[in-house]
Amino acid sequence: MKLINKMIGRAAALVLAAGIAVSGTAFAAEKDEELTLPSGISVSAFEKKVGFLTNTYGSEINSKLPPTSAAVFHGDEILYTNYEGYINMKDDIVNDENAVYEWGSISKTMIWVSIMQLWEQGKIDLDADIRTYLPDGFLHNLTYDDTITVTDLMNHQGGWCESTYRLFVRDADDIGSLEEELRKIEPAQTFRPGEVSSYSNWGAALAGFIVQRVSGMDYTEYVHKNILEPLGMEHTAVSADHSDNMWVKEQREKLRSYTMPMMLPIWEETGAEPVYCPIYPSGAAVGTIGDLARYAQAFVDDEHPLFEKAETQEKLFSGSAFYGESDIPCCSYGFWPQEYAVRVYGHDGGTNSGVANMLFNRDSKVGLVVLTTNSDHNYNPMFSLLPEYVFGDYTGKELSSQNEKSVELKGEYTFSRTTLKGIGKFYSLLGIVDGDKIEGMTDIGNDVYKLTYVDNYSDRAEIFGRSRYSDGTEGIRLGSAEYIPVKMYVPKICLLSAFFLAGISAIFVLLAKRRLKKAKIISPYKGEFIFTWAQLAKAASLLAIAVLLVAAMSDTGISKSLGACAGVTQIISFVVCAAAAAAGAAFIIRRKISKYGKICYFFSIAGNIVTASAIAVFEMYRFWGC
Amino acid sequence: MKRIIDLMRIDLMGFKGKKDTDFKFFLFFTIVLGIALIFAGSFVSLFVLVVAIVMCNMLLSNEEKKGYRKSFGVVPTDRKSVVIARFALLTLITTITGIITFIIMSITNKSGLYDTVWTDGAYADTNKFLEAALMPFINKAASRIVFGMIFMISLMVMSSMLRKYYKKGYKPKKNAALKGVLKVVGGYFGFGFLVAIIVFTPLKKIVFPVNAMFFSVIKSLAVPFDGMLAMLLFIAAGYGFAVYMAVCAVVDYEKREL
Repeated sequence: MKLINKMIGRAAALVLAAGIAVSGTAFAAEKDEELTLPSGISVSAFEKKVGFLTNTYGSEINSKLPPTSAAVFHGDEILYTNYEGYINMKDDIVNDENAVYEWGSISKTMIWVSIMQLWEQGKIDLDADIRTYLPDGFLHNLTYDDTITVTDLMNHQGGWCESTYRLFVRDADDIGSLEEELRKIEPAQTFRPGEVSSYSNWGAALAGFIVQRVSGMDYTEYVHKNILEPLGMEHTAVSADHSDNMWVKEQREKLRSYTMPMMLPIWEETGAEPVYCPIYPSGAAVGTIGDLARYAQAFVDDEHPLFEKAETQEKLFSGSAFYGESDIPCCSYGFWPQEYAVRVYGHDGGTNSGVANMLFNRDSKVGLVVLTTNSDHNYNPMFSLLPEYVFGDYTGKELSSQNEKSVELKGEYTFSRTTLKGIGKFYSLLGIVDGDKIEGMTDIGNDVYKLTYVDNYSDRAEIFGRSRYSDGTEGIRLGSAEYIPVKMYVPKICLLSAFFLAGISAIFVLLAKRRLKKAKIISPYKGEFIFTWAQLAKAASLLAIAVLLVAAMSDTGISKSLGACAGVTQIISFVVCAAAAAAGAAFIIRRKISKYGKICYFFSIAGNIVTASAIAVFEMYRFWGC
Repeated sequence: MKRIIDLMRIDLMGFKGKKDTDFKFFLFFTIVLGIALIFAGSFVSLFVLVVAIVMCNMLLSNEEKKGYRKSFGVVPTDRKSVVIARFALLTLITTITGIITFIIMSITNKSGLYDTVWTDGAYADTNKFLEAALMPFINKAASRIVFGMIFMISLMVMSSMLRKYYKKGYKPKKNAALKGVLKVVGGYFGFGFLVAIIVFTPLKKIVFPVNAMFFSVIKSLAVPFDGMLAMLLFIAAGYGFAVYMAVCAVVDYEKREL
């Protein structure tokens, strides 16, 4: 995927380079007073670059394009807007300013703004334990007694791992109150609060619930009254089923999203049936590009329209978590700082039906908002290249020094935003990064790492931080999550592989036995009943895992009932395999068995022990509370 | 056991008097793969597949054309031993070829032959596309996984051919080895056709997540020991399938009227 990305990026860069070469003199002749974007190019040059890109992209695809809307602003002035493609190709509905898109996780920024508003009013203490604001016993899945502060929630450091269960539902009638929905899917707390950054939709929605509790208003009502109405955002809905703004709901029904199956130049329509986010503060907002631009403009406005005091807005962007011991922020009260040629703040978002990005530089007051329903957004240069055009590339040269030394990482790391407990625990082994393979990373002091690389023929850099944990281990901090070391990785992955092998072997053995019995070549043998059931159990255990993996990759994720079925299957499999292993051992010890028979029993015992151990070690049985 | 080893020896003797055509084909394919090595080491793993198919065809045509079936009249044996001996011999040949191929592939990857030819000097910029297209074959872990998959497929194809023979018998064909390879090529295009059907029909709603699951699992198993674990898993699955086919072949051959 990375390679394809690179190839498309390089192709786009070549085309653009040619475009700039042709029109370079024209750019130089622009009038002097024209605004220069932080990337160093004028607005008209930016427009030409984007126009060129759009035409090239359109001709490459050689068909209608999915909708992409973009806006660039400077203070309260909109410098550039673009409505590309069709919101519904089949019905020829062209994208325009009335098209609404799903904003995904940009919705979370409304939670953080609400929290800061309540903090400003003295109703919330950012350093207080969140249990102060929650009903008694609300959090029933905690591992640590440590205080979880409101700031921890904003930094995604509450300690919750990713939930195994689905975040979206197909039927809006299935959605209960925010409190009910939060209780339904409380994930396990796998990190000490305040220690590891692990992006959590559930944790963010919990903060939304706190807003609801502290303000005494429904979260939707609060956001309408304190964010949407003051900013005049009339084309935005924030509730789970979008029913708080019927115009938006109707517009959303017209929208289709598109994907390119297997990178073929054919758009496949998806998203005809919307899916809903029950923990809606985390990702249910839907609105127009105009409203999103208006919202983003508020954060660069000296009049601080969302807050009473300018200091509150300043605090919001003063940084709440930093890379290593440096003053480079990696999180700013829920907003993500990003290093381009200038430092920008913002948030991106993604749902099944669209992707969104909101970025702004507070010094220059320039910002960018982009929305699309093209799920292959990484290959959509209209979406992926605009931030560079506006804000410029980050080279990290200002951080270069003679004291830089290369970083040698050892061992294996997994992303902190993963399932570390319950039936999906084995997922954590499916996204491993080998520390030895990371090259080009240098330590620039203060526990800050810099990764330099060349992309599109230009030097680029990314910043990471070294995290030190209470158990003495170290990880790598990215913006919203961390790479944490995996303990006992080799034995674990070997056990998981042996589990797959035992399951596959059991299927072959069952098939072979069936053939031999049918042909009356083998006669019944001692313990046949339990061994046959154990083979079935091993195959069923493997099948349950496969079904979970497939469901996890579907639109709506794993449902509770599916999780329960898988968990019960694993419990039965564990019992049967353990019994068969014990029976096999007893047969070998007590009975006279031929050499060939002993080998068969030995493999049977080994397979059963492997399956039972994998079920226990990876908690495949634990379908509750994860 | 001795009886099975004797039967394997008889089959090995049969290969000695074999016509040159199949060996010429071998030679041709070896040269093609040798050239392919310039691009990337893992291409050579296709050699395992070719050997498995060609040797299986040679062995079966020997039995039918040269009267080797009669030789079992002088060696006291039973049908079960004959089937087991054939499976064991071909599995052994495939395994030895696999080991040699793996060594060649490892040496090619280690020697950086690819880097020398394609990414140095004047070729560095002009072959970016080629570099990207071939990268999966060059990466150490990926090349091992490709090898493991081809080894597994070789065992599966070889054992399926043997089982088919013991179930339905052998109808001699001209250029059997070539036809065997053409079948593989046909299979490749057939697979492409199948992919097209999946992409353009609602089948994709099931197939895509399943595919994604397999890729995700394989990708994660590729990390430890530079893909060695995934490679061994594939190979083990291949052996499992071969054993199952051997059992089925024994049953089918015992049942068959000769």
